[in-house]
Amino acid sequence: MRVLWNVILVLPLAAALTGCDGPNVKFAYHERTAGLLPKATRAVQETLDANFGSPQNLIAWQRLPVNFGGHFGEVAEQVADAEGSPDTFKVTFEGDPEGIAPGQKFQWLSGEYAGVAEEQKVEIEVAGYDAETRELALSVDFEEPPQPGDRFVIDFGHTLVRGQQVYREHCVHCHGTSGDGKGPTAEYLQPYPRDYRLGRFKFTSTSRDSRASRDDLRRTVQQGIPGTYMPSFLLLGEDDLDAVVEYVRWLSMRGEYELKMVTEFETDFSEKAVQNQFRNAKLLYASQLAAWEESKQGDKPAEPNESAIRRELNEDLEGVLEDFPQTADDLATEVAEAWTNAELPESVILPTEPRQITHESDPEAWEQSLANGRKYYMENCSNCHGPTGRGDGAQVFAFQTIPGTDETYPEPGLFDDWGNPTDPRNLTRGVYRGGRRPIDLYRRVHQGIPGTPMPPFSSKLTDPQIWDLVNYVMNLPYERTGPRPTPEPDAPRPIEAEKVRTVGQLD
Amino acid sequence: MIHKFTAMVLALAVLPLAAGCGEGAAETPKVTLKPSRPEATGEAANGAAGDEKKAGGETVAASGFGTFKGRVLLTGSASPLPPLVEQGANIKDGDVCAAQPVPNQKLVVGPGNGVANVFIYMVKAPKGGKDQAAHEPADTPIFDQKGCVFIPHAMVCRAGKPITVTSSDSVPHNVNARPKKGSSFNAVVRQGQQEQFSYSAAELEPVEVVCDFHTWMRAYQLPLDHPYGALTGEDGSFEIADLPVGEHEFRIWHEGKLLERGYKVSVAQDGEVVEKEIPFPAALLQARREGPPSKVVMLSSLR
Repeated sequence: MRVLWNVILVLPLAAALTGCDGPNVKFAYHERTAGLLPKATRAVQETLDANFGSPQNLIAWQRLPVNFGGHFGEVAEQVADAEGSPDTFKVTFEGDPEGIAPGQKFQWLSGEYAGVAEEQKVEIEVAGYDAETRELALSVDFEEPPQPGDRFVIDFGHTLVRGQQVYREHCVHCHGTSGDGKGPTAEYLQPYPRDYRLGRFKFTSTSRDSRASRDDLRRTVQQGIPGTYMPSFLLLGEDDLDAVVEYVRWLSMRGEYELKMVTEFETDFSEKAVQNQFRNAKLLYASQLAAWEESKQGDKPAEPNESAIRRELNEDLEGVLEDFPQTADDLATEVAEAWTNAELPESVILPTEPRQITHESDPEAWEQSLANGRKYYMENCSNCHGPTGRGDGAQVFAFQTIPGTDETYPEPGLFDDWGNPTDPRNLTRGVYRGGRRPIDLYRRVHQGIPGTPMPPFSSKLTDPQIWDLVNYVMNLPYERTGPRPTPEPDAPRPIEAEKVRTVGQLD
Repeated sequence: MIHKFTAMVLALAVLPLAAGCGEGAAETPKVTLKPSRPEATGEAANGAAGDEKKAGGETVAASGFGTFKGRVLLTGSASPLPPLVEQGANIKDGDVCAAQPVPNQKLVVGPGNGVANVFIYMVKAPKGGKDQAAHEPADTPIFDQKGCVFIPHAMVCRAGKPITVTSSDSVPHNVNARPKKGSSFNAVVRQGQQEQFSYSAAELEPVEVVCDFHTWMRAYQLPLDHPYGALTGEDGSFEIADLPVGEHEFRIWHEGKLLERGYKVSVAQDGEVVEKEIPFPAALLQARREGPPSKVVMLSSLR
């Protein structure tokens, strides 16, 4: 009996565990996606899954400006090898291919064999590549030799895969599997790790409405963010840095795409919309009922029914969902364009006039620059950063309005776009999160910090004025804000003087 | 405590776990190439369907334009709202902000019970609609701050066209606009200064513009990419001209509340004037509650 009992208990456990290929991980969906009506939620989730996949089955959508990795080339000439079997041919590659090795996956992109290997579930691999003769040999034979001009790719996706491996090792515990900033470590950190899904990064060289460029992300990963828990990953090496930056960009695009789709539905086809409509209907009903009871004329007003409202919204949603594939396509184009534009040289914010006055170059002009900087600071910055630069301006003690509502946040102070409390920087510390070069401070002032209440001042201050302000800010940590308080002389003490031994005077 | 036999069976069950998980953890993910656009045949079908559904640009069989005009009238009674800031109140920047009372513009009722600041608009341009309205003003709209009040309180504007922000107050205000689709705008504009901004995308509902220094300040701006949107005036009247013949649906929105999602208007022939009186129930005003909002809690975890 005991044997039977043990077996009955343990068998389901064994069954569950034997199918262990590793946990079946999926990317997480945004909280706002769950707030939509179920059909809309499903549409968003399915579109997202179809275009991005899951961590174990990545879908590399070529619409996105991500360097997934792979050697693209086309067939140049046919070559018959010794046995006359058509598995070797001359090729040309786009760019200079390095590291083509036997065993790498080969995939046709055009020509009569495109898609055939996938259908027949055959894996084509590279058998050998001769860089001098440009002959590529494959592991399978083809009945008909491939035609010149047929395109292919070797080792597609290796950058994305490597990026994911680096990400899993170094980033996922804070930034989360989906880049949502909700890894297991995240709840213990202040400030929170970045949630990539808004497509917004704070410390960029591009304008506040643009996306971050690869250089910006690379810089952040390479140097870390001083004053926060983001460390420097300088020791990763160039290739791994590039790969992890691509993976982060890909995750960010996925999150942005999801939020854009959710925004399309949220206003009309969400739980909130149902509740709003229901509440309005109840208010109307209350007043109509009161009027009917007074006048006793006509029919009794119908009581509002939440399921009827929901049904009506769902019917309208069906119509909207028919157009949704086209809408989703347009949104993808928007995302792709925004990220592509961030790479253009004209997206980089560069001062029109260089920083002329430095501490060493001209001491007199430096003093004047500091005086000017202080003037601009008091006019524009002291409200948040405080008159002494300690980040204790009046706004830190005021209650801000929650965007889109009439209510204020429960705590005083400023909040960022991710809904977290954020403080204006204490400029007396000399710790600048976005970089401490003068150009970094220039960019913070010129464009503000995307995602935070720090506004841009490009339209208010000219470049020389911004440089004066930068000089003032850089000098703040070295400036005394006033004379040190003198100790009170001979204040009466409760302890008798003889019993106190003066060791020395504390400064 | 555990019987020897049970321990043996448990150990056996755990064995596959150790073997399987070792392999699974090291497995490299599969990467599937998804081309930028679907295949040629699929694209043609999608493209054709998409073009049909897209509004504008298609020639409509029946020709002609009509006008949709009317008034939004308050039904039921509403007591006048007390001002947001009393005259002489002891508040920050009181010498400017409390010099005169700041009116509560949640409900502005004009002569004849007309409700002002109601947005009546179409989400997308109608088929066969005009890009430019004859009555659209040519000059740039001006958005001012005076007596710690945004002027105008409500505005219909065009996506992509600039709005000039000025300030007539000696105290600093910031103009903080957070649209859902386009990029946000946040700047402090001081007395005598001018700054321009524009909405990069048309929005589904009006954008709330606030001042972070004086949190009672509120304005609503609706950027559209077509001229079929209107705001009721002080007497509650509105007019939308050049409406193509056919059936149209309008959204009616006021102060954060959606009154109608699909108000149907049908123009039968050229030159027709569709005149409507749209009731605004005073009962809906109680929708504004004091206190923190009740949250909708999702009980299932999707993480």
